[in-house]
Amino acid sequence: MKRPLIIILGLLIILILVGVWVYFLLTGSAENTEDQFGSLDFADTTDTSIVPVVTEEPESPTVALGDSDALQQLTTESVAGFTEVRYNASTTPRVHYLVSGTGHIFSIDLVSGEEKRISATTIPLAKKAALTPNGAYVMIQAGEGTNAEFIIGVMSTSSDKLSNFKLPEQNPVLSFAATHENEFLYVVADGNNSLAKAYNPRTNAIRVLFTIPFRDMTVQWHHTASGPHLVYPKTTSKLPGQLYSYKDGLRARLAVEGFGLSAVGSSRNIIASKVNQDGSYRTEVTSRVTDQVLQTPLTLLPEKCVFSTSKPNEAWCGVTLADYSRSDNMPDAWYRGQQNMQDALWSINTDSTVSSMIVNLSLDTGQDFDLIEPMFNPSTSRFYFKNKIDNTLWMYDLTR
Amino acid sequence: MRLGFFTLLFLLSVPFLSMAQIGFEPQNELTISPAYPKPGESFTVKVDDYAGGLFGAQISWYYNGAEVPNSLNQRSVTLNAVSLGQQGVVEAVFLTQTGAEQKLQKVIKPIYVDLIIEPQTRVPEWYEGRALPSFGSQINATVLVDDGDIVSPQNLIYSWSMNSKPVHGGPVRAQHKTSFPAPRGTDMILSVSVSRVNGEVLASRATRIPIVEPDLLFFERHSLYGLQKFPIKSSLGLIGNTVMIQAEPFNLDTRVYNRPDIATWDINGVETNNGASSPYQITLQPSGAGGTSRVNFHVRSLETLSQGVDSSVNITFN
Repeated sequence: MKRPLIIILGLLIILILVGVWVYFLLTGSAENTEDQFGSLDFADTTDTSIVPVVTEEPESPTVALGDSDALQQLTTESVAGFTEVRYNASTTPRVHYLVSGTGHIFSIDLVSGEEKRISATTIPLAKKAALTPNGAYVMIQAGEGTNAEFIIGVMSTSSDKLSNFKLPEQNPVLSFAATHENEFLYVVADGNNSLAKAYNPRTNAIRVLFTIPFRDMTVQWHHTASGPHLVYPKTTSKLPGQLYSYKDGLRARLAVEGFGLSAVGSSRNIIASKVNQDGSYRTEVTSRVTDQVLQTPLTLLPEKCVFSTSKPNEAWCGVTLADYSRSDNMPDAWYRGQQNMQDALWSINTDSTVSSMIVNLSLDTGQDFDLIEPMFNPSTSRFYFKNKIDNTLWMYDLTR
Repeated sequence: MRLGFFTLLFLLSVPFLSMAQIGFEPQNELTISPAYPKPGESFTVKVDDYAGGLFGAQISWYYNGAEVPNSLNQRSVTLNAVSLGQQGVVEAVFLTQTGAEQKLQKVIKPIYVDLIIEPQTRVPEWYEGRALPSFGSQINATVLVDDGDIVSPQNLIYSWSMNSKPVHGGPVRAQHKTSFPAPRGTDMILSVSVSRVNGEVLASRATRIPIVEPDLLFFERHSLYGLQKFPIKSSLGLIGNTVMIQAEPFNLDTRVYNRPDIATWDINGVETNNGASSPYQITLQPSGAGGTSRVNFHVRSLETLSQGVDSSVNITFN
């Protein structure tokens, strides 16, 4: 074959290939984005009924619940409120928590670690929340001071919308909590007094529980509406405080008082801290039966303690080992945020004051740890708490 | 001369006349301290033998019928008050040298009379502690009586006094709450005596109330999360484009907080518009080269000049 003929045939082939390329360039674009990529033959992903459990990536993020570590960090976000929820005996336990600022509510399966958002309704400036253990209702404080609103939210079982409305109260709410009976307890100012009330979100009924004859008070709510609830004037090391118990609407004075008084109690014992006559800040246990007082070897803030729901003589507390003198201005400095703690978690037998450390939170987590809002689940198998530093939610699993 | 003699005679006789009129006679008695112990509180009983006749007597002590250990021939004993709703009977039995026996008795009914102090000064809403009074601010006080049963305030007489001066001009019925301005000084003593309508004194209580100066802390405020719980210590590094800072006065009279005569921000000594609806907030954004600016806030009443506070914080930015 002659050389020019070979060149002509080569050019002809090149022209044909260029023509084909131009044709596909102008007319052959994909109709949807999936066609732009080659099929890797993953089969029909819309058929959810045959998704293999083992190989499928989880659709929701999971919380890394370690197999052996009893101490678990449940959130990295700031939490306004939380509770443990168990819909019925056959379902796995879950933790529901409400995120500060947005008011979104998430649910963590405590067995699989699966986390999902169950309310995407934004409650701006959500600061504090109480959730009922049946997982159906939430009470939220949004905003602060005179701008604070108190909102009742009702969870939906079919969507991630939270129907919500304002708590029907004219006066500002000073303190609130949820009971194991799925009611909300709260206190409102009433002139120079305070009124404790119960709100049933199922019936929308409000009933008055008792009257507190002053306003600057701290309430340690019991998990039932009938109580006993512990009430004392807000704490300062410069003024005396006295401890009262309200049971079935009746007030009783307990044999606990002192400057800088704060307290937490069970049906059996009371843990109270106060400023002694020498100016030191100390902790003692008072028997509710005999009024006998025992000094504890540990000095602690009772706000960091909760009694076991099954053992009325056992309390778990966040404790920073220190001796506080008058110059430390405790507990006022802690309330102001000027005194941070490096807490370890301790178990205290309040009958004997024998104490044992469970875990050193600051050491084990490698961060400043200032334990607040401690809570046991009803069966005392899990202990929940927050870190005041960043408001994250943590759990100590007693079964691990 | 005669007039002077009779005047002197009259003056010398006045004490005897007075004693005769009120039937005053020195008596032997037991006195306790504190005068009105609380349930479970430790108290001391001592013998006051003003009438005499007990010199050299053997003294035995009994508490609710049981002999007090190690108390023989002691002139005072220390005991613990019984529980609320019960009564304790202390007896001192004297056996004189002539063989005569004399008994003195004191009945103690411990009672709770609680003074609850509520200063009407400002602390942040999230603050879990109690406010303290500052000069000129109102102080609310409530007294709660519990003798085993809750005693209705309607059936009691209250005698309030502040630094030994009566608050209501004298005893008042059913006034278990009172309100008064904090006096000048570093502290004050508030006392109250509670009586039944028949004049029986149930108890007296007193407490020292500190009067403090307002102070000020700065907190970072987030548009979504609100006020942070930890104050800015001495300086704050500005990371983003803007930062909102809130000045939180502690223990400032709530009336001054709500209507301050002066509420000004200045940056490096230059008064600045705070750019926020609340006078206690300021929004800051960096301009020019990086460095450190001193941000100052001043709040004050012009009526009561000590009702105010002035403080600064450093803001560092790049």
